[in-house]
Amino acid sequence: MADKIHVLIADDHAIVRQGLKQILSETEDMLVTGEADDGAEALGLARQQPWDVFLLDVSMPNRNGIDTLKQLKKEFPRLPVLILSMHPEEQYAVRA
Amino acid sequence: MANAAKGWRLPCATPLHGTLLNWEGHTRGRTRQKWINLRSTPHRFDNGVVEWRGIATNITESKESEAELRGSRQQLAELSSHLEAAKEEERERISRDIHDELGSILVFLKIEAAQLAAKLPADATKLREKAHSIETLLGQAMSTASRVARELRPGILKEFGLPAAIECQAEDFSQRFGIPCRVQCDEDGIEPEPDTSLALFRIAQEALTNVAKHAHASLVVMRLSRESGNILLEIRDNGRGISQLDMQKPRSSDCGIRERVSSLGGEFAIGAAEHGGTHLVLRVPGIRPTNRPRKKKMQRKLF
Repeated sequence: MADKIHVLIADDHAIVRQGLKQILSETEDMLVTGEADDGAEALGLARQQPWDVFLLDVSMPNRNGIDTLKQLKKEFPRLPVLILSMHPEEQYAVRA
Repeated sequence: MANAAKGWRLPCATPLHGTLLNWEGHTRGRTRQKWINLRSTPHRFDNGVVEWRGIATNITESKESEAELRGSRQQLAELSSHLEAAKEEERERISRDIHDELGSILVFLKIEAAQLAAKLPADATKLREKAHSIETLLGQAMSTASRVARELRPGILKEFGLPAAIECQAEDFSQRFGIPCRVQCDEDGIEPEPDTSLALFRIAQEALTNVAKHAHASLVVMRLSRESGNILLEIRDNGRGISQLDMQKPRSSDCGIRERVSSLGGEFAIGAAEHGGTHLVLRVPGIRPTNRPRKKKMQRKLF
């Protein structure tokens, strides 16, 4: 358990979090140990304990993914963050 | 009251001989206010006396009709703006439902389909093909749902502002219709008020739809800039252009654009581009004018 990669998923859609957990559960060395409904909750969890990877949705209420990413990079510059989006627009990627 | 011809003898030296005086004014009576139009010309005699000859017309009815027409236009503009706001609210609700409900279920289904495909035995070729086909269709359904939600209410407009939303719209347009669409934004910091941003975005959307439908163009250029406090949006294409007949009978979409621009207190023009094609240009105030006093100012006056 201690050697596993601890992942936090932040997405406001429970069904999407469930799908991502399902994918990650098939990867032996990864463990989803945290879930957040929005950007503010994700930031709160980031401050509570160390994490190995964050999966962050772009569109979330109470602080969107890009704003949350900016704050995370300020406070935890070494934390790897993967941005998820249902939007295909390059503009999101450019700004992320 | 019937029109009446009248003459005045005024000992006045200042009026120029033959210069027409055209005056409108109203009287304050005990009952109905009367409007009078006075058209009169001075004639100077050798002894210095000036005689005014003219007609005084009772224009009360036409003035009242004019005021009624103005009021009715104002009401129509308010109704139109209210309808537009209601339409935007409805669009936002549908867009959110598509993105949140339908979109997330499609994402989940795609994940399930991918996992199912991965678990199928290697020799079940037909089943694997079917599973991959389902995955592909789900991917298409996700793209369509996302595009429809975006067209209804672009999240990018709220999150990243007008220039990003217009660039995104241009990308969508190029992909969908195969017509390259370039965007030039003079400043990255063009950030009008939310209502103005949404209206400009809708105008850009409408204009691009017109290009796709009527222009037969192979290139579109959109330019967003600032010009002495105003925001300028230009859309130029190299298509077949706009004829005089088209200009005389504007399309309903052009009227829609004109109405949006007018509600923002701006100006709109459409015509032939320099080297063929159509050039649409609109200018709206960077800060929306309002007739209502701001709350802070009112409070200052009160205390």
